Amino acid sequence: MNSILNTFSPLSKDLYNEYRGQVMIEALATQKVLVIGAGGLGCEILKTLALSGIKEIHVIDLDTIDLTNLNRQFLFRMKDVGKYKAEVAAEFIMKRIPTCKVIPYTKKIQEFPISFYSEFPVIIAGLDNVEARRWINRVVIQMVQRDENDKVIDDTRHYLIDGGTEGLNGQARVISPFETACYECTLSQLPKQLQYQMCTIASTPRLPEHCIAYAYEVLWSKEQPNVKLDKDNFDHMNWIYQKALERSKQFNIEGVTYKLTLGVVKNIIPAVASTNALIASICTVECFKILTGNGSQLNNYIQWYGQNHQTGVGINVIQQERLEECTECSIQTLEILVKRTDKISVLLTQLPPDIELCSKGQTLITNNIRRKQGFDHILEKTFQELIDEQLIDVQTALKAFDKNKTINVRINYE
Amino acid sequence: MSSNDKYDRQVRIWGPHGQTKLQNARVLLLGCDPVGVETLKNLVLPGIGYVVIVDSKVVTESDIENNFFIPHDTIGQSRAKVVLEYLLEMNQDVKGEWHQVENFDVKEQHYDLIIANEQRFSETKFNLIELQTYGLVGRMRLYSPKCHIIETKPMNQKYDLRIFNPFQELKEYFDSIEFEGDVDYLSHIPYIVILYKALQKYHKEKGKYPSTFSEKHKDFKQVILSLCEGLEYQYTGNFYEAIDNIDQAFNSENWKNSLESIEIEQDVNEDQYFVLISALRQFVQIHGAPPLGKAFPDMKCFTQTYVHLKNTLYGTKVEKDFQAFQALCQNKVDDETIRLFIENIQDLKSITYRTIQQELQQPNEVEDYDNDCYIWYILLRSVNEFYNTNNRWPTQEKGDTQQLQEIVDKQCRLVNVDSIPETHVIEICRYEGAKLHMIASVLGGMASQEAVKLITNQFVPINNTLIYNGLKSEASIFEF
Repeated sequence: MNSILNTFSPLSKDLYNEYRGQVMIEALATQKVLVIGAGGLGCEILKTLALSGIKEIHVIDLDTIDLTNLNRQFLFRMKDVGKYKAEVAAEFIMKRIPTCKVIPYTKKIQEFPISFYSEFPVIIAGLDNVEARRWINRVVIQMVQRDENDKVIDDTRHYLIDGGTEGLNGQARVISPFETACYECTLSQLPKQLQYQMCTIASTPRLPEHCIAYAYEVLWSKEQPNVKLDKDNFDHMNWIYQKALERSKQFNIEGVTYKLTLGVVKNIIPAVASTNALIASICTVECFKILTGNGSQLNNYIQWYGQNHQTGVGINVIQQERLEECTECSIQTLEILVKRTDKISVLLTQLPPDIELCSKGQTLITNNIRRKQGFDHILEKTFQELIDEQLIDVQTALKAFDKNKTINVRINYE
Repeated sequence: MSSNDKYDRQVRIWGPHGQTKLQNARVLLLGCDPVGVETLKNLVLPGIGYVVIVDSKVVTESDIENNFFIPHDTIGQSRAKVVLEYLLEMNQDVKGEWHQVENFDVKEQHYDLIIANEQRFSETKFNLIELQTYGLVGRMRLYSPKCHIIETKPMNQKYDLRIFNPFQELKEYFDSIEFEGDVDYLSHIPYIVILYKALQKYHKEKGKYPSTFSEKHKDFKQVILSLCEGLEYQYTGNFYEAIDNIDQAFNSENWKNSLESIEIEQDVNEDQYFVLISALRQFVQIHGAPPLGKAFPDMKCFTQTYVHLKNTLYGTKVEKDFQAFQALCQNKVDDETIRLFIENIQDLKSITYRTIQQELQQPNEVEDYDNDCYIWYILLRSVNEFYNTNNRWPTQEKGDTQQLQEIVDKQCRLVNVDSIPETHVIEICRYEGAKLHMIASVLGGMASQEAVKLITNQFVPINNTLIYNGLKSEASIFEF
């Protein structure tokens, strides 16, 4: 480790060469990293961080261990099936590498306040769904604060590193809010989910998948109206399989199996240890470089195709561009003139409707009707009172979000 | 729980037959550096059959810092023993043995794959993955004595639908379809029929078939659209499906590549792959086309039509071709392999690897490269030569950088490169041979993908070197 924390590096950032040596070694030991997801990517990320000089890792995952995780999530054993992933993973890492502290959480990421996330300079996400990725992307954008010149205050920029895999293919990206493309900027590039047309499923099935989709999307609700389908319940899945098989025989279609039924209904994405290892480790290398200034940052998206019948492997590094009209990270500034003795409810008339206004990560005005009561007391306060309570910083622009964009609200006092 | 197979998620990638190959495979690991151990970890998890671990050293403090499978309380023990114990602890299906020896005779037994790190290794009898990590840079080198892949598994499967050259029964069927009827009928004509009819119409109008890109994708497209003239847009889904699949209307002759790339030698006639290729040659001579594969895509049409096409028309021909092809194989290949071969005739691939010895003497020159990976390759060769001379790695001390620069100049001349930036020479001198876990972990992931390809004989492995540059997170493949 020491050679990449000590020695002069002509190919690294100034940050590194300025602080290399003891300062850097100590700094690295005090940095905390947050890992979201303790699954295929998460297990690998935890191991690699722990062996890269990180001494404190926090990990969030509300999932429990399933038998089919064991072929790649190498911190889990047969005896752990049913237990919380985050807890088993944390315990395993600390036992193997006692110098590293791992703190597990078994809650939804949405249940943590922004102040929780602001403790981590880098957040690494090994997630399996778009919604959670969008949510954490929004968090790193919301944490950014600006000085009086509208320049991003360095300490408030938290990096998000995101990885994903499918079969032998995968990708990793580094998101530096307002500097690189954010997750939302590139949302339209997501591959469309394969969907079967209802008329095909219902009247002209041709593939075994069509029969399974019919049993799952039509027959279950028709014949079991009072039972909620549990995709992890063998009896439920077997019912769908049997119905699909029946239908396939009726139409002379071959190929309905229990395995295929699970694949279609659960939308199972093939997963293997090797791809998880390489994507997770690329993410970890990026994290290490952010924390130490080593090398230069991945700019900003790498695609790995282990399945490539021309060259064996296809590797693309793409610089994804920020989207001008991005609903999360486009910048629009609104200047508003008030008196310090005004109540902040005056903003309600000056801001666009349906807007959420934040200061230092704390919501001042909410666009959510159900939660409105809780914030009424803030609306009644004057700007001076909020400044005194340090809820508003005179120097810093407030942040406003609506459905479509982020707006920096600069309050000027008369 | 809804599946009782812990390998379910990977069997969906390489199938039960791939899993069986994996579970029957013997892998030899030479050297317990983190990169080799990480590679093996990603093979133990999916259930590799048997591992043999060879390493001469005992555990020291530096192993604990960079190797996850060498715990803190094992100092002084054999590295091979410790690594084997902690790898196998992950998966009880896997068995293995360890040897603490300096020189291990690999020729005594068979291995499906050798993973070598620590030294350049030039055995040519077995599949080989040679690995090196150096600071923030890594290198992977593949070698296979024979590499003929049947299941190359391209991302977009190609179909052989015989639209351009239909066999007798199919031609009769195509000709029997009329483009007259109600919208329900018209909107359920399969796209293969539409493409066939469009070809006939094009030929009738122009006296030839479309051949250039523009003829195929502009003029021919217009002919397809003319077939659904007057039909309301919502009923033309199948015609647009035909346009999306225009390439299917023309003969795919990819299979010819595999015939050309293999020169039949009589004395290797016992090798299954050569038997299959030879059978393919004969089959094409007799029938004018390769045997028909079973893969048949979904297409918008009535269930009855689809089942008739797939099972009766194409299905019967598939079976007939299989019988004829099987006879040509003269019982030298099992039926399952024959079927796999026929399924994949459009995408077969053979790779002839240069040996590591050849590369060490004279690597292939690289004309143009778009990132730093080639520079790192030359530098890795240089530090390895430095090590061979001095028995230690270069540092940033002036004497070392000067000596390394001389070696670099020599290596550059060998591959016809003018010079490489001094910054990179200084950079590599700062690593002093450091084996970082994170770089080992990246390379280990990449290497285990290639390992699975070589063992299962599925997917296409790289030919032959991958350089990973962690400084920028970029990677490139070279044939050295």
